[in-house]
Amino acid sequence: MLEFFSMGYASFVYSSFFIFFMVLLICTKQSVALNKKYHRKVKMLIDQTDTK
Amino acid sequence: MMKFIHKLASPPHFYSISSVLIPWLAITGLILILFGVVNGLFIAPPDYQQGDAYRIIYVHVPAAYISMMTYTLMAVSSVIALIWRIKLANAITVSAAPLGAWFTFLALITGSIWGKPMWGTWWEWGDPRLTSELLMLFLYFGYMALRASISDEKKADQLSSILILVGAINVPVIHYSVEWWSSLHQTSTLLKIDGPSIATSMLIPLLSMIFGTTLYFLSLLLIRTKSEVIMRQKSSRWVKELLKGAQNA
Repeated sequence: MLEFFSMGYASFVYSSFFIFFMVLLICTKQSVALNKKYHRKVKMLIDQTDTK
Repeated sequence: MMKFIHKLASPPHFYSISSVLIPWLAITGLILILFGVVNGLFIAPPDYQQGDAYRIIYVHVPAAYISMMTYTLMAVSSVIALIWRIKLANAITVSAAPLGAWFTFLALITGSIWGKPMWGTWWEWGDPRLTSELLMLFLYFGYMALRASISDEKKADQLSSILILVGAINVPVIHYSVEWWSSLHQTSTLLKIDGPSIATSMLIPLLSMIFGTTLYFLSLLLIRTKSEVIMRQKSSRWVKELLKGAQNA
């Protein structure tokens, strides 16, 4: 564990990697949420036109 | 070839192809990223000048490369949309913008974190590479703001495509800024005429990170484009059949 943090500039290196994975996570969550939202919205519109 | 491109550009065909590709791109991308992270952090040797701080390259370079690649992709699809009026091209441009903005933000933040121990400063306004990359982030924001401000989809597509094309001049400026002007930023490590100026043990994780992040980015782009296609084609028969089929399944 100590070896893990003994790397030179450890805080700079690890914070960069942490931000990288955070951005990947945010992009994934946003993309999946958009996919769900649009599918739900279009389904609703189709259902509405069908009942008319 | 043209027949294949036309077939791929048809929304239902694109939808079914991307549904198959997304999991493969995401899984392969994540495996390559994992390999790159483990090798980049723990196996590659430290740099003789920068020590361990150089390891930020493994997240900074893929982010910076994708930020520029995304803008180029948006410019190309804007041209295709304006000239050939292919509907899918607009969907790709709209879907790529938020991802491009996030990766540009990532490139700027990781670059800044790298800059502090190496240059002694988080940010330098006079540096052409840094300011041109920041300008690209504003171009992404401008594109998204312009689209959001126009309710007519066709008009929004046309005007925002023109904005993207005007801003495309910034892409070669970012790339060549370190050669054209004096910059704190180092010159290119990979794209050199006489080959990459980096040891193989450092190069392999870097390439793994670049390819992995690109594949993962493509999977996200396809998810977003699929959603955009469904939304834009909501009154077409294939979308109705597809969603009803999913409901019944």
